[in-house]
Amino acid sequence: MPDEIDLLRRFRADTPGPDDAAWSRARTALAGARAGEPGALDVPRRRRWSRWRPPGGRVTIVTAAAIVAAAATVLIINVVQGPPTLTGRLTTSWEPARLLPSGAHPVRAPSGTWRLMSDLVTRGWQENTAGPEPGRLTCPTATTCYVEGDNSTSSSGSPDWNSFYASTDGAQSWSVLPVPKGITFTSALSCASAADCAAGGLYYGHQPVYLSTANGGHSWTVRPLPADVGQIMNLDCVTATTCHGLASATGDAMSPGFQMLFSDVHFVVTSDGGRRFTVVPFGKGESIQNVSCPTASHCVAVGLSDNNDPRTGPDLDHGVLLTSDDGGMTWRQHTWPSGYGPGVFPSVTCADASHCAMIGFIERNGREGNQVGYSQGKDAVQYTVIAFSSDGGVTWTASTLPRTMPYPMMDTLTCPTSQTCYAAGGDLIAQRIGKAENAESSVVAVTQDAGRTWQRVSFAVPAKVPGGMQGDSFMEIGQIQCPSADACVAIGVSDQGSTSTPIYTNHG
Amino acid sequence: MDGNQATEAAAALGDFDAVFREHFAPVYRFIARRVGTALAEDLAAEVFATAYRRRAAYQPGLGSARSWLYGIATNVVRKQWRDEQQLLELDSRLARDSIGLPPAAQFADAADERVIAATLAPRIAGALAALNRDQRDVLLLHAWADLSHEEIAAALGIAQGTARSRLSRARAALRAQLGEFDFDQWTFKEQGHA
Repeated sequence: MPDEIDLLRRFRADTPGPDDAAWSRARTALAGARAGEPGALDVPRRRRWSRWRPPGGRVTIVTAAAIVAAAATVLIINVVQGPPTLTGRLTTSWEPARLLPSGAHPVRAPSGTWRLMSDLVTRGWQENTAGPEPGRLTCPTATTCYVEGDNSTSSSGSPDWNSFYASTDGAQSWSVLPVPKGITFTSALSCASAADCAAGGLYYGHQPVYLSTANGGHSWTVRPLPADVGQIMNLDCVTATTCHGLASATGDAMSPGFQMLFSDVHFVVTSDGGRRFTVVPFGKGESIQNVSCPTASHCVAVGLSDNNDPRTGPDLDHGVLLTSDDGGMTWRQHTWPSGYGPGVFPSVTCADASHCAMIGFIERNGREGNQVGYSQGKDAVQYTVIAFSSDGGVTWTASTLPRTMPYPMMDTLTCPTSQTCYAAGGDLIAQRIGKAENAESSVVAVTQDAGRTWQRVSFAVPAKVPGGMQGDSFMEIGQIQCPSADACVAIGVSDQGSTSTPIYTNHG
Repeated sequence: MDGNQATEAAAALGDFDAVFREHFAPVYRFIARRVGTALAEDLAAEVFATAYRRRAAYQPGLGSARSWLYGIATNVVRKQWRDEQQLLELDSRLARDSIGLPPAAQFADAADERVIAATLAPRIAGALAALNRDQRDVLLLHAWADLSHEEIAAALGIAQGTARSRLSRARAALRAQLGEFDFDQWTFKEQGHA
């Protein structure tokens, strides 16, 4: 029986192939690229650059020779030397923050309800974003939040997490701060206090580094990582100098922003601000993706089995579950809970040594009743559940989200207390904002009894899409942070064409 | 050695002409279906010029030349998001502006699928316009470029599981937007009652 893909294949099926002019134009562009002519790629856009003319309009042979020699020297240095490598600690000077102009007008709503609080507006904010992920949000306190954003301009590459934004007034206004030259973040920022934060990064796209700041991003210390610590993908700092997390085994063959599952992941610990690391490998076949250590000794880790079929990707239905009671030095494997899988990027968070929660992933074949889902095909129906543990992550019970959220796909989960958790993401709930019709809606759900009951949070959205945003900015929430049970900040997902991202909060 | 392997070898050896000859037409058509033929000429040329300049970065181990080229094409199309959205909304408005849409029964024995497709086009355009761009990218790479999960992942630089999950989600969202479509009759049920 045909399905919606067959239907889609008939849409615009009569579009013609390239005519002689298209072939000719492509050959011309290709020839231009081959010749290495400056601006050759701009030829297809029918754009003409004015040619630079020297003062007086004449170029002497000596001047021309000097220009050619200088260009050749730069080229040779780049080719021969390759990208820069950091051999020791690098500390940047203190830089002031530049306040971003306020974009959208805050939506009026009664105090205590969720609403669009503000947005980040700048030409650099997620401009030309190629990747699917939202900015990485970190809120160490109810008033202080940071976002790592994407400022990539490549037409064929992955997103570069190389923008940094800060708010010190509960996400109402935002400033932009410079990121050290050549740095791309590879993990979310983790903050032991409002100003002491650290993250993993890459230096010029090839060298794994550890970044730390003691002043909320005004200046940074960048340290090259030891040879046995690769790209840091997850970091959790309990003090300004003591952090643990996950890192790949080596820094080789890593690409910033390339969203792949690392199969050879190690648990890493530093207690001296990134100078030295203790490295603990996981067991064979365990592709650990996320870890939570609510105390210095107890940790819970979740991941995927990495013996997957290369044609279909990892097994999303059966995960790997580990706990540690010695700060991650040794790990104990437990049976993965039945009824749901780990999903693509499994997530676990623990409020204390006993109480943990994770996002579980359900997929099955066929059609889901008379609601959405399609009539045939493997893994046609997918949604997430939230599972809870009260014994430190050993056994788990799945919790069903409210019926008002039929097919939730939760991206982010945070538990400020043992009983209170917030889950956020998107659901297949159509919405209209102004003239924009969207197939999905941003959703937030909260439980105050460790998952026994949930409430879907209602929050106001603007009557029309604010300037600088696209409708799909409101289709999903990428990250949520709740420094306390009643103070949360969440960030939407924006994409190409959006120069700002909605920020939601329930306080302020 | 099959055609694909030959192309991989050609790419690895730097025989970019062979890659261009094999893939230009389908890549052009993919772009034209997304943003229209007026823009496709420029954008398709840009894809291959970009690919040529970045050919040293191509790693056959990460995916085929085909998926790599469609990845570049997707990124190039993304820059034209406004044009794509406007084209979809224009197609979608044709539905509301149409008068006297033929009832489903008239299509029961219709041989001309183009007529059916033209009738359905506004609904499909509206449904596509309501998807977010990530979903639309994976859906159209799958439906129009015939890329597998693995190839979509390689094209977009995302994990295979993400490609699989995103495609499934996109199909579900599309289905939800389309409403009740009768695949036996090739029409929407509500049209049949019109």
